[in-house]
Amino acid sequence: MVDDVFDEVGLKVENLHASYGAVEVLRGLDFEVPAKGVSVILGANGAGKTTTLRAICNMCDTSGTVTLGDEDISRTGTAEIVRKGMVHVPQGRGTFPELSTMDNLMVGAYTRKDNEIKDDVDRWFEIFPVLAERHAQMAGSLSGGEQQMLAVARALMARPRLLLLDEPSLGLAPLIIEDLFERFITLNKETGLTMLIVEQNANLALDMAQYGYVIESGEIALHGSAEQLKNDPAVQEAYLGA
Amino acid sequence: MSGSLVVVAKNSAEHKKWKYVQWAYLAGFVLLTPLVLEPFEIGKMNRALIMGVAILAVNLVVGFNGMLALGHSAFMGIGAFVTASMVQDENWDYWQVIPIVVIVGFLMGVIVGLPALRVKGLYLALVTIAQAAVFPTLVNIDELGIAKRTGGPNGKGVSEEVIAPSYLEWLPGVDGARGGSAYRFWIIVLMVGITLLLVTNYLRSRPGRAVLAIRDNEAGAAVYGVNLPIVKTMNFAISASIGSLAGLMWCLDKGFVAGQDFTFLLAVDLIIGLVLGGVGTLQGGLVGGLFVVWVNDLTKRISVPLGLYTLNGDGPLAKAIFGLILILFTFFAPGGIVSLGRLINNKLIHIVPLTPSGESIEPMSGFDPGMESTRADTAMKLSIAGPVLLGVGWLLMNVNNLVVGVLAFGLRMTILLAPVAMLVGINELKAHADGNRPDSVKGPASMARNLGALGFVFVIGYALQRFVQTYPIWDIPLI
Amino acid sequence: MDLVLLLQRIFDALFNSAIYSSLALALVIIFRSTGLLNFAQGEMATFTAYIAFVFLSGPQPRLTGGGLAGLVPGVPFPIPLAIIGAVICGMAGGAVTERALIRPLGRAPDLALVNITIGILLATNSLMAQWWGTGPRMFPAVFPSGAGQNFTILGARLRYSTIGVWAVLLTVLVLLVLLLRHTRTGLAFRAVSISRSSAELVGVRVGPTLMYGWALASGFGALAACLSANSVLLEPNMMLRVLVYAFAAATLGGLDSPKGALVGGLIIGLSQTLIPAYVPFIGFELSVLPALIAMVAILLVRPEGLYGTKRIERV
Repeated sequence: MVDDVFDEVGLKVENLHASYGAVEVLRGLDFEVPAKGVSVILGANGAGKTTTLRAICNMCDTSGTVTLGDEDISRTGTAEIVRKGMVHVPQGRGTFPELSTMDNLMVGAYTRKDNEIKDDVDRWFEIFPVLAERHAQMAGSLSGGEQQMLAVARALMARPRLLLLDEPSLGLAPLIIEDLFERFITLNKETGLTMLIVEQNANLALDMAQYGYVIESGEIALHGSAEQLKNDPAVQEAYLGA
Repeated sequence: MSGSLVVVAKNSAEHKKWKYVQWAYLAGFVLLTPLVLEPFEIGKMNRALIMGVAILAVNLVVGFNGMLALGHSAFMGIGAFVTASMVQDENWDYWQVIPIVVIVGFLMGVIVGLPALRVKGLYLALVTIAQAAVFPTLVNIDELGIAKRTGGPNGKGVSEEVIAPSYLEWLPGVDGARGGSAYRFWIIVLMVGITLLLVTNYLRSRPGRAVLAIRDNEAGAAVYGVNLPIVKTMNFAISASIGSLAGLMWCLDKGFVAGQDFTFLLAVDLIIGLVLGGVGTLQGGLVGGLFVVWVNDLTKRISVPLGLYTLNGDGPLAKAIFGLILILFTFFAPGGIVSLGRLINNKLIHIVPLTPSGESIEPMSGFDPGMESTRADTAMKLSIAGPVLLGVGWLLMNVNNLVVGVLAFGLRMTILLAPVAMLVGINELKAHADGNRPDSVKGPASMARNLGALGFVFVIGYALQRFVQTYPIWDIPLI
Repeated sequence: MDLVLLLQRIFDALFNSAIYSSLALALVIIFRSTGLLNFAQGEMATFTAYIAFVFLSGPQPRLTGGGLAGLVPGVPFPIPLAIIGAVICGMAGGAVTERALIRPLGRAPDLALVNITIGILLATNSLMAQWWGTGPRMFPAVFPSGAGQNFTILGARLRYSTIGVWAVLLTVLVLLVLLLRHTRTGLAFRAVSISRSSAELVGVRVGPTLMYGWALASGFGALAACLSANSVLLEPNMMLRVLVYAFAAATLGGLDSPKGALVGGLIIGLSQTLIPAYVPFIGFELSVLPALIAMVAILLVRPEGLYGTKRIERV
């Protein structure tokens, strides 16, 4: 596997299996996410990308080992994993539509007990100014892009070490996607936040990421640096539309 | 199913034998009830059967159509009051009232179902429980002559007694007590049988399949052209008319109807019976009815000797037990007693389907090799278990009168286990003779057969003795 | 129409309204968080009223629980303390119920949820009858409610007890709103009631939060039972009838809206008194009828109730 490729490993997944009922979706995944870097998981519909993220967070029936930093979290509950510093922004955003934008951010900081929460809110309001404008509005009434920003900001409120993003571009207009991804890059550069992104938009994802994995039918089919993947003929044909 | 004691091919002679055994049980159970039981116990049995029909009605909606309608006590009440009023005020016969009750029940079902079925899940439960809660007060309304018909808070008695005609005196248990509960038992058994037959056919019919389809996947059923509102409402109405029929039987059995008999608590009893018997099974209703009535009775009987609080002999223990049963069954046996029974049945006998050309789809001989040598032993143990339980029951009964019915329990176990042991014994002997299972033990197998046969003879003897005791054969009028 | 009489009837209805609102509030809290209708709410509440009764009576050997109460320092308690004790016991009971009986069910079909709560209803009811008998017990009045203890407004008498009950209800309601709006736990509770999975993803421990909701609800139930135990007489079936009205109130107001519970309780309480008084067709023994008709009607016309959010299925 990818031993000693990364200086520091943020997340290590070994032999991860996951199933819904009798259907086995993941069939033994092994991969590592470099700390302070951006990694991306590519794959077709139904390949098991979303399930991978869900399995890492223990949201479905799984077996295998997941190590965050140097701590085994394979048997840790979803809510506890947040406390360990890994936050998952699910597909379809998972904001609370009947709470205000502000309350959504506050609930994002639920696991924290320090008194810098207000400062953090101001900080993300600076980065996502549109959220500041709409701080009293119900999250359900925000537009898709705004909700996606809110979801990310809410996740960041927990001050994670590692952020899992599930198809952040889903249902957004191309311009907004570019804007959003630029913000992700800035975020990564400024704070050194480790990111694992699941994305269908392979071009965009590989531009942003340093390392990538390709999942096919619940198994890792390919992996390598973003450059390698971009130049791989199979990837080009299947995902980059070249 | 691995681990079954007997493996037979579908529709083979042995399978048929097994079916006969099952039917014989049922017939024996029905025949023995009026003979073995005391008159007041027959009354309880009647009550159990009536509850069974009502639970079947609930099951039709809840179990087979997936609609959480829990207020059938009201439909029972409607059926009972219509019957009481027609028989008492208009001097109709009970059988003449049947079509009226069924039609009225159906119409009430349509009236309630049309609006109620627009809401789903817990909301429907809420609406129908409200229906159950309000019914006892509705019968007291003075307007429209309702109170006059229903007798208002005093209830309505039917003065005409149900008496067996002379040409039916030969019915078991009826002898000498033509107005007794035994004759009513036979009427109710007949009605239960017909109802079950009709419901079985209904569920196998085209509308019946639509009903099941809605339960399994409502959107899917709609996509395949099932008219949801019509099918749901019709099913609800049919269920309501069956509930009303149970009400008619109630009136026929008790001869007295009061609003207080059809409260929310009766609706709760129906739910308990449903869960206990088995949601979505045809037999579940009857099994549930039996358990609700008899557990109630048993707890009442043991409340006093246990020193528990009672009020007019009606202790709170039954409710506690039912509450507990409801919770335990929900957690550990959501399929109810019927599914547990099927589990046991599968342990005893495994029926292998045949291909159209007559070959078994699984290997018949040498099936499950690990079990072979132990089968004969198990059969022997089974054949002994019944009499042992009988002995234990007898001892317990003499030691402490609290444990009422343990003897009867032992007897029932003998009845149940003896033929099984016999069947397994015969099966093993045959296999041994054929050389199919060389390691099958001949000694225990023949012993199981013999002991099983002995148990069978004992049971028949016991039944005969009770039969003669309660019903001297030499008195039977031949015509 | 006699206006004084009308006003008098409204004043009389207000007492019951407050009780219905409190119990409806309990139902609403549980429905919002756990998505089930707690048919056992009334019985659980009655149980706590008995606990208050034991606290008030102190260590009497002939009273079940009296011996246990004797272990508590300071019994017999004065009324306010007894009620607070009962509310605390009720909250503990609610939390235990959630942990032991509801959480293990997970995502069960509706029938299973109905079964569990009806099971609790039956078991609790019989336990009370077993321990404390079915005969009514005298529960002291919490607020002065005897003859002459009232204000007279426009010729109609408004009893102190009515005012007292409403004062308690409103105070607790304000506390509840503050709790939900301005505390971390309250925020977590709101998040869980909107989406369990999303709440988990931000690190909210869903189980304990639901347990907390059940404790809150049972506390409300306990309060309702203790406040009404004097007027309806303490007996095991005390709250069964009240529960029917509370369900009607909660449905009317919207099963997920605390405000709806308050308004629903008011409407149901008033209609229960006023409709039989002015509609000759419905006698007082049928006073449950308007409430139930209102409930069914609102479910058909506007299933989410007056103030509820449009969210029909269990999420």
